[in-house]
Amino acid sequence: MSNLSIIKFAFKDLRGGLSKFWIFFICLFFGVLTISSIGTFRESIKEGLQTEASEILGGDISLTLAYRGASSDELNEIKKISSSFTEVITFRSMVSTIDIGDEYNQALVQVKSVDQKYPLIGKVTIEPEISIKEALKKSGDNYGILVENNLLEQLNLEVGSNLKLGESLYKIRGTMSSIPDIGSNGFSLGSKVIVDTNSLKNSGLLKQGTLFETNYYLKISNNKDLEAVKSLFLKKFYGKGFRWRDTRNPAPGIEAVVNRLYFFLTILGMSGLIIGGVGVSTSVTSYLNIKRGTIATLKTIGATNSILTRIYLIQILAMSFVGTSLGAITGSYLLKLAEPSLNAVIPFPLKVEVFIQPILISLILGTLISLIFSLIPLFNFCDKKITDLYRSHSINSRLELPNLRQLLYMFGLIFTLIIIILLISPDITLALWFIFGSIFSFIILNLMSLFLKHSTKKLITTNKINKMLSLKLALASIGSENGENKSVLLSIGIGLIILATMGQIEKNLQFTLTNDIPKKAPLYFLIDIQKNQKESLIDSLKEKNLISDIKTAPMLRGFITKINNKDVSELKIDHWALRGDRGITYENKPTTAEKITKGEWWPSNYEGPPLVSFAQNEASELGLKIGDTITVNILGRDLTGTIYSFREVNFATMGINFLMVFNPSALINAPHTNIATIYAPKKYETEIIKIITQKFPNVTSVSVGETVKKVKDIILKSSLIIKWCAALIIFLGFFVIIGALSTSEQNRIFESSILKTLGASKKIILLSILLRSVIIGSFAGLVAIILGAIMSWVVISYFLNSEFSFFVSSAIWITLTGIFISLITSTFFAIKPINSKPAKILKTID
Amino acid sequence: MKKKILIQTTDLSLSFPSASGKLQILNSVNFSLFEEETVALVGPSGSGKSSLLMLLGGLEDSESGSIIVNGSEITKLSEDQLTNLRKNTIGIIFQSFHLIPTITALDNVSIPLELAGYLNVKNRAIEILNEVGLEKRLNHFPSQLSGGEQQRVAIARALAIKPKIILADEPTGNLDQNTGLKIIDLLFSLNKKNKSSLVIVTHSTELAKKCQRQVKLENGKTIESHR
Repeated sequence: MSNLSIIKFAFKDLRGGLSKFWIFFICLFFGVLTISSIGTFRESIKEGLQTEASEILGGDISLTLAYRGASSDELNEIKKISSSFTEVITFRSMVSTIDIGDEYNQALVQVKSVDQKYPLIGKVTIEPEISIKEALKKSGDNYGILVENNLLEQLNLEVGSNLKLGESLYKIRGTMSSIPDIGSNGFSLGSKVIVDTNSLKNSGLLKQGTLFETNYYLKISNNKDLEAVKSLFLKKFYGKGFRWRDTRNPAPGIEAVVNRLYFFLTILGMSGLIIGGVGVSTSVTSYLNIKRGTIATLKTIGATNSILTRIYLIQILAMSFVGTSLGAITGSYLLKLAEPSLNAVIPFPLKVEVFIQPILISLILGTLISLIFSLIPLFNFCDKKITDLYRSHSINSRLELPNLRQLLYMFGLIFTLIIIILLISPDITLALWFIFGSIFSFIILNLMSLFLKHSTKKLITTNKINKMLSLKLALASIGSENGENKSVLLSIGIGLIILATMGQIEKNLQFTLTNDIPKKAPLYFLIDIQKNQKESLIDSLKEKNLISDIKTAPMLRGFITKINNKDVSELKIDHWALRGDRGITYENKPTTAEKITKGEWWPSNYEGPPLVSFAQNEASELGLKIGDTITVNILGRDLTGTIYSFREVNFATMGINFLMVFNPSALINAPHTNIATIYAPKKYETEIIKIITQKFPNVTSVSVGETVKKVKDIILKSSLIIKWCAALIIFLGFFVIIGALSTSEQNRIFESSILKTLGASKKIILLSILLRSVIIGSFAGLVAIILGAIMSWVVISYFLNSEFSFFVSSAIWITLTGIFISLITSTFFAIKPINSKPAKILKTID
Repeated sequence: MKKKILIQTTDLSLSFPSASGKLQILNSVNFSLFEEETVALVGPSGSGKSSLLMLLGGLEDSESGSIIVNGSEITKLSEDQLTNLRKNTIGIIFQSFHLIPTITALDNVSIPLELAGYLNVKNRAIEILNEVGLEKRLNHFPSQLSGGEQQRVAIARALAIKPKIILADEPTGNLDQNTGLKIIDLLFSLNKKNKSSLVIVTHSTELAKKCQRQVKLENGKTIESHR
């Protein structure tokens, strides 16, 4: 039979049985739609970042220096390479209201101090509509300041009010709703404010050693080669501490977050697709079951297994193509429809178009899932004996294992799927864990389904069960060969495993943030304490017995440039310690909170070559040994120290912890400030802050509680996304269960008719159906709790490096969800069997 | 002239497992079929007539014994080898017709021709459908045909490849008496025209008498009689 004849026959034969494919379509459609939308979302953000790269960056190039501004040489070079540039200084500080009676409020802010040319690209949206020059200029005694709306609410102020920043008074001239150069803003603890750089001269802020960054945003002419410009500039000012960003990657931080979110959501989408795969398998089995006569006849008249496999594979592929392509395209267009709403909510630009890559990826993933879950029923039916096909008219759930060649096809498809998942993942380790977890969960659920089937078969023979008819019927149904219970268990099970895992992770994160930390954490972090302020600050706070403890440490910032004299960029190590600048300090002796784990501390008053004590965990992750050298760039100068010891450091205590501690002689003469942690009862908070802002206006106070709250809010918002995705997965699971139950509905109607004929009441039949669903739902919940606990333990312990606790409340909720889903769907499909007229049913079958 | 043996079974046995132990369907059956011969398999319900027919067509696996069809020992053939044997040598007609419901009468008859590698498939299919009197029903689906018409399509399908052997399992079982008689007449005339051998399972004594030989099955064993 020619291939063309096979294809023609395949399409002709599709006529009878298309209705069996509706679950197949829905499962593939929604699964692929999810992945396509997620992929389109990511591409839209990338496109938005790329299209508006200059505006996001604030220019074509962004150069950043920590602790200082550019020297005259550096400025000359900047002028040379650019057509224009602007200077923006950013730092944290405190603003406070002027005393109004007893009212005194202060707030942590992120200050953006700008020159006359700002913004170079884009605009600041100001309410009321005035130009930024107007808003910030000196009028009378005061300069103007622009603030965000939430600061007005926080301090109970309005436009026109006065605000104190450092020693200077400002008038609030307006609020800003959007600013360009969002790429350089990053995660901000405080509200943003904009002032004129000239206004800071008398503010007492930006003293030597104060933690601030100077950003230069450059515009260059179109024909300049960015890479060439970068290369020349950094070579000329090598080791001077410049951080370079340009329009090729305007917001690496945003992109990194988006890539992580994309990966995470894709994993959830894939989980949904896997559940959909269960539905695909049920659909295909159901479809091939009504085709058993045709398959038998074709075999009788001379069609080999190979021809049959090809015929029905063509049908499956055709249906897959329709389902996946509709899902992929709809997912893409759905995002287009949601674009205006998303742009109102997302703080960076979104440019939604129809992108081929996410459509293609979702198509491929959907097709692979469809094939993987269709092949076993396909092989089974095509391999069945003719007489078996003609004789039996009920779905046989006892699917035989494929032969070696067929298994190789299956493994080939699964392997391809794994490769694609790895290719689209930004984190290979996490991807591998997901793959392993999915396969493991699948195998366990299948084994558990077998276990449930066999144990219920044994249970119904016991005397006790014999006397409980409804329970006996329920157990008999679970132990039967019709296979629907396996599909129900699989689809509920996978959905619940995901919910259980997410639930435990969420609870653990919340517990760590809300319970452990506040007990041991300080009330406030203070930064930018000048050397000559340290003692008077401590005295002022202790004088009024407001604090129980205060710890201080010198504070500098620098970034690691070399390890063992090799540039970190050449080492290809991806570690947080090597990204951006880190806090550095010096100590004569280790504090009591720190334990030396290896090596030793330098002698008191040591004045030899620089020595470093490094945090133990991070040292292991970076592969460092005692005796290795670390080069850090501080204030534009390289400082190389030899690793002399490793320390145990627990960053989670939120106390003063440093990755690197140098011996005092290495850094004591470098311009720097101090930081401090204050331990005090919360009731003294206002008074403490009042003293600090009034007497030490340059000192910035960061509330640990507020920071934790902000992080908690982010986690809560993220968990909302998780919950939406989980809802989608449950939604898909519903359809799969509906598909499985509708396939065997006729069997249940028949059974119910027989039972009624034998005298069983509607109540007994309904109770047996409900008991069955409770048993399956509970079992699925139990399996999900155990597997969810294992998987969340892996994530918490190995990826988040935290201590794992098992939360019973989350586990109970999961089990109840499982029972609820099973009950709802079973109850719906109990209606027909309960209301069936036995005579009508049994007469027709005869 | 001595006719060639097309089918020969020796000590053929078949049993099925059941809840109360092994159910012996056929017990050391010896059967033979010659060229251009018509044989009726008769016997009470459950005597194994249909099972024997399925074994002869390679549709069922025997427990023990040998079956030689057209010179090949079919008990040793693989699934694909059996399929190839059937598509070139054997035509099978079922009581329930077993037409493919999603394609027309013409396509139902074309498929075995395509599987056997025939050229001019459509012409041959139309020719055979004309012979069974369905020239006006070529593009009808099975659901649009009467029982008798469906069985005619089944007969046309079985004879399309000009098989050496035709196996018919109660071909009139689902038809009324009049229609059944017409079908039988058609079957026998085409069989004669085709010069094929026919084995027919039947409960009907009139039909059995039409055959050259009757083989009775009782308790899994054969009792042969001649017309």
